[in-house]
Amino acid sequence: MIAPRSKTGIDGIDAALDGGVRSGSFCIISGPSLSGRELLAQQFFFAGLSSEEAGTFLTTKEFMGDVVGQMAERGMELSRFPGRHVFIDSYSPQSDPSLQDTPEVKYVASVADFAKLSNTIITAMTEFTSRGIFQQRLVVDSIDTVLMYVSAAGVYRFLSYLRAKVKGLKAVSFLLIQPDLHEEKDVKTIMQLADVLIEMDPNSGILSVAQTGSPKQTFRYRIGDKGIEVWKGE
Amino acid sequence: MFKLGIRLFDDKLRELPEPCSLLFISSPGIDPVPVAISTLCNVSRDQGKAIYVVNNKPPASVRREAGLLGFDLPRLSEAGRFVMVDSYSGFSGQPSDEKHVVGDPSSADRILGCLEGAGLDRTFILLDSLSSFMDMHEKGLDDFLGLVAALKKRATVMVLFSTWGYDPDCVKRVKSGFDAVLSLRPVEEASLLRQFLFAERIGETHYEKLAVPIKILRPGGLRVYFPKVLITGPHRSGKSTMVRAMSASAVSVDRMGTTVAMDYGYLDHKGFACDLVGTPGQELFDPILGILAEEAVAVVLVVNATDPRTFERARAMLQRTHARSMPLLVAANYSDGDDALSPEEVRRQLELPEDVPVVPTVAIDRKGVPELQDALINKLMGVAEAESRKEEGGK
Repeated sequence: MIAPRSKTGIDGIDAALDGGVRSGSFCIISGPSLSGRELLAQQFFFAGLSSEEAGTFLTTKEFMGDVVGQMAERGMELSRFPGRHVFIDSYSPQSDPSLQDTPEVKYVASVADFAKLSNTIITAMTEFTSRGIFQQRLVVDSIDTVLMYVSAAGVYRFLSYLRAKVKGLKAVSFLLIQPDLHEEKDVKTIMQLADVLIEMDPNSGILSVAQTGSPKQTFRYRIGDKGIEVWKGE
Repeated sequence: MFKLGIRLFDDKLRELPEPCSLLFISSPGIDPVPVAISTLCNVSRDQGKAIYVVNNKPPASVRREAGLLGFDLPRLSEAGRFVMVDSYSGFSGQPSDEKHVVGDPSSADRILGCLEGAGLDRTFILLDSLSSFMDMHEKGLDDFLGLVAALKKRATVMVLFSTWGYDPDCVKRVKSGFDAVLSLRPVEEASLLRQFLFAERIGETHYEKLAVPIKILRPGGLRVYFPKVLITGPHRSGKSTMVRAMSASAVSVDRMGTTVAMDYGYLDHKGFACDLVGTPGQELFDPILGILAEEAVAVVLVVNATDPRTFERARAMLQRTHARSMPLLVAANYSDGDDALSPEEVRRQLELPEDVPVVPTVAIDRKGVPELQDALINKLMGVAEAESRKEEGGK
């Protein structure tokens, strides 16, 4: 029997993954600067909302408002889905510590404060389930900022906890990392947690998808007006 | 010693020699900071100078949280009773508005030096947090435990520690470095996750069942929290009035003055909080009594002390709500009536054992209501105390 799938919102990738990502998957999107990995995560987030799922989006290196604006520019209007998405913004409090939480935006003053960060993420996700929304997604953009503050071993322990909770909730998560910012061994430590690894190389235009138990598949990709587009062959 | 404002814990913590050290462990997914801030601000207000050392977030976020919890940190700071030590900005590279800033937060010696500058002798110091120190500065455990040992000679120390999948031997070592270990853990009850504060060890005594459910109020801070106390009793015994009299806020679903669904109230009294659920009294609503009683942790039976003819009905309601299997109290209401029965006579006629408190009340005037609230808290906490006594006796 095939496990339930969550569509990523990108047809080629969904086909490579037998219809989408398995429920409970911990997916890591890896790529250098300007590779389009943020856009891929935003499409994944929006695809979930469009399928009547709920979503939690952690932004660690951009203002929440900027992420919403970027998505709107590509036709991904989050205002169409009131009450079904929560942003956790750990970037804005650095410039304005007085920001107050709202139902749709929660502020965490530092990504190094794992207790507060994990509490905020899990509270947001369990509130969706308590409202009867059981299909949900989590985007973490990005792990890079966390690795700047905390040792790889510490980040690994934190992500291990998060992975277990996300799997327990049968949610799907996408976490972004830019490997060239970190030590190779640190990146390898984090990658061990991935159920699905999506690697993007803007120079060659190659996007590869590897999922536990399936052969790695490669695609060509480009960033179009509506977002990431992938296809097989040249 | 740090006073949590929870008598059951404070009585035992007071037995520790001064100064001493307390480890406050939290499970992943639980933020211990609101409990820590509540404790430190209470200490600062009632006991002496308190110092908050923060290494994993900007101090401004701690100040903000303290404000949301209802503590007047600016006033305490102005009075010299609260000092913030910023051990974060030096690490994050962000500018700091604090007077006491640790230049190199990876150095335990530098933290100690900064605390010296803040005047650490005979103070209460909170270190937030050991786990962040270990995660941010690899191999930081020895340094940190050395810092705690040095501070403990001169001040009372509380340390926050989140257990992020550390090696069990490491956790064991951490725990052994403190005079007392408390832990904040989630407990699943009837599919709901609630936070409980456990005492693991105080001095040489180890505990497994010494625990209280807690809740953080904003504003209000730390409260011992019991989610559901049932208020039941015969028709026209004064249950709705009693729910209102016991509550900081209350609503009633009634028709022509008679409760037809339930009363709801929220009690906030001497560091304790409970949700009060009042049942209808008429027999036609008996089918829902059992449902309303589900997950209740205690029952308050309200009877009209001037009308013993209703006592048979009261006994039937106790049976329907399974009240005798829970902590039970009786409010002998209308006790100012000329023909009101004494509490002893109410007990006799209701065939209640001696350990069930019978409190004379006049709910409409709130007479006897504070005593009833005290009795309810004592009854609920008595269950936890009995468990702890059993454990102490078994050692």
